[in-house]
Amino acid sequence: MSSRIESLRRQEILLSPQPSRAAIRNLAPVEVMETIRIFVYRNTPAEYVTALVDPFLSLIDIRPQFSFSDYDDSLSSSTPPPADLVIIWLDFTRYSSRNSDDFGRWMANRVAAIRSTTTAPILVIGSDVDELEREDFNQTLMDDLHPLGGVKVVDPGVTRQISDDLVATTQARWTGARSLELSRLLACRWIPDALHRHVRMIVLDLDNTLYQGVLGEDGLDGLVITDEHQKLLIELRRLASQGVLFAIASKNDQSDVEVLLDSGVLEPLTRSMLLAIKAGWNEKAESIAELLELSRLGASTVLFMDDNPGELASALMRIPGLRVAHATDPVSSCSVVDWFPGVWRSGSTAEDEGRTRDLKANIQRAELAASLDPYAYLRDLAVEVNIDFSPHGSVARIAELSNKTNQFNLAFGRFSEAAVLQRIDTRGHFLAAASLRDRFADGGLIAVLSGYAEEEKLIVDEISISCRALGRGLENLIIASVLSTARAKLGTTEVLLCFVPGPRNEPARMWLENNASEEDPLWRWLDRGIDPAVASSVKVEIVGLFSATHGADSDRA
Amino acid sequence: MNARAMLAIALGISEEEAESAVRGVTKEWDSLHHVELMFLLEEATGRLPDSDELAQITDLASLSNFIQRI
Repeated sequence: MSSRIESLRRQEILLSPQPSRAAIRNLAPVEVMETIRIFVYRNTPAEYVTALVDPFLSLIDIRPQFSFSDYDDSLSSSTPPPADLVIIWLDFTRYSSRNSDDFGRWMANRVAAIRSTTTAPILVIGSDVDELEREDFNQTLMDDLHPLGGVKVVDPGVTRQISDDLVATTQARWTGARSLELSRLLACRWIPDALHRHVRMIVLDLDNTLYQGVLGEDGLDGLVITDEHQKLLIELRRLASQGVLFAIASKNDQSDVEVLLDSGVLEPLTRSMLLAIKAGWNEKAESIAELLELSRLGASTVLFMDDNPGELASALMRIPGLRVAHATDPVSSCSVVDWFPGVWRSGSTAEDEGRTRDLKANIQRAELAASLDPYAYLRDLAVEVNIDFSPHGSVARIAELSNKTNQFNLAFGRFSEAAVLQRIDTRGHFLAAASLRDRFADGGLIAVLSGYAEEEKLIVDEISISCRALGRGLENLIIASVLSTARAKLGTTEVLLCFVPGPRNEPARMWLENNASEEDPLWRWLDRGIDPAVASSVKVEIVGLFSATHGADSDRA
Repeated sequence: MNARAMLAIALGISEEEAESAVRGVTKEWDSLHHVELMFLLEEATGRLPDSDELAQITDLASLSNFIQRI
């Protein structure tokens, strides 16, 4: 318990509205689960900023291992060491022609050259100099580099220059305060976003977290929403519009909570924003466990906020990997949602909002399934599956799915955006993305399958299916549709699947066990075709330019 | 925060080691950690030292003198 309390104290220091460099420097290192290798191309000392990234990323169990290029204005450094993320950090004041079209073309060429050496995500830190030119410059950079695939450009805001003699003496362009701000931006926003390590859901307490007061004791009229609480509610609404899910876990009567939410007292937070409301007198850890089951999200993608450290500690003990934050007051809570690593997103898409609606629709689907036999259920859902063999417009989402799916994931390919593009466009390979909709919601892209031909064999090296798409009996339909098409188009007969056992991919292992064995290999399962009753209950559409000669030659084929 | 604690944090060493640390001699006191010290002084005093002041900070005594003068 004491270590959990210590972790909350540590978090308060790191996520404070006014962080202290000395306090952060004084934090003891902690053991973390995962090391991420980050290579930085640079022409300026980035170490002043990267030195403080480690404690922030420890909040999500990551240790960054930085390595740096030589100081090089021309970005012509040789091939980088293997890295999980590449950062390009330039002092753009060193380029006198930075506002010319030539510079934009040069930058795109250099980043393309870097892209050809690695499939890791590339993060480009934009210009921080001079407000007017900065916005246009960074926008142009984004427009020029986005088509390369897997390249994100972030706007670091404005840096006020320190004195020239200090710059000459120290090579540091930033004040300490600005350096700390950049460390926090890098660790809490840009790196998690580039690596798709997002917080998917925030579970909120109510009493003394979203307002002053206790609902059951003070009643609706006795609750106080201060200006700071209002700012917090507005921020939560903004995050909801970016695709963050929300749920309530509260020790109150369910009926009281529903009255509260319907009263408008918590506007702009509304009931429609919430995936679920778990109000009652059970332990909150139990409620959160139910929310994880309902949402099919991994614990490490969920953040629980409560003013009671005992509830937080209890939840951590019951649900390993859960992220927790102490909501001591609304100002600190705002700082938590602003800075907790993974909450921030570089942009939201219709896909993000669609996923939120789809998860809510799962509740309706569960009620329907309980009342009908399986085939009638599918027919009543009016399911439509779209399979795209040229999903160039969905590369970011495909990479996200490949990296986030843990349960129905056969081989943990963990494809970057660049790797996705490579598989779509390389001769003799295939990558198919399946999207799902029914009468309750458009689920968006929910499955990725990838493979290649090796003589007469079709080698399948990735099958990832989103958890929220499971439970409707559609896995077989999607897999059979994709693999049958791929097998035929690539002129192969046998089908071999790569399987990598992991701590959580039991659903994938069970699927494999149920559908393939040495005596009855997978390609015979494909030969038998899809269950006619299922096939007649679901509409399947296969699109995309795809043939045995599809794609360009590639050295990495 | 006192000067000894500040120097220890900047260099990533113990306060006992900070007592005898000398810039350019103590291996941890390189240019990167000297800038870290500059940032901690900024946080503690509200302003960045200028380059002359930075050059004069070479051990705990000179650091203490600087902080007392601010």
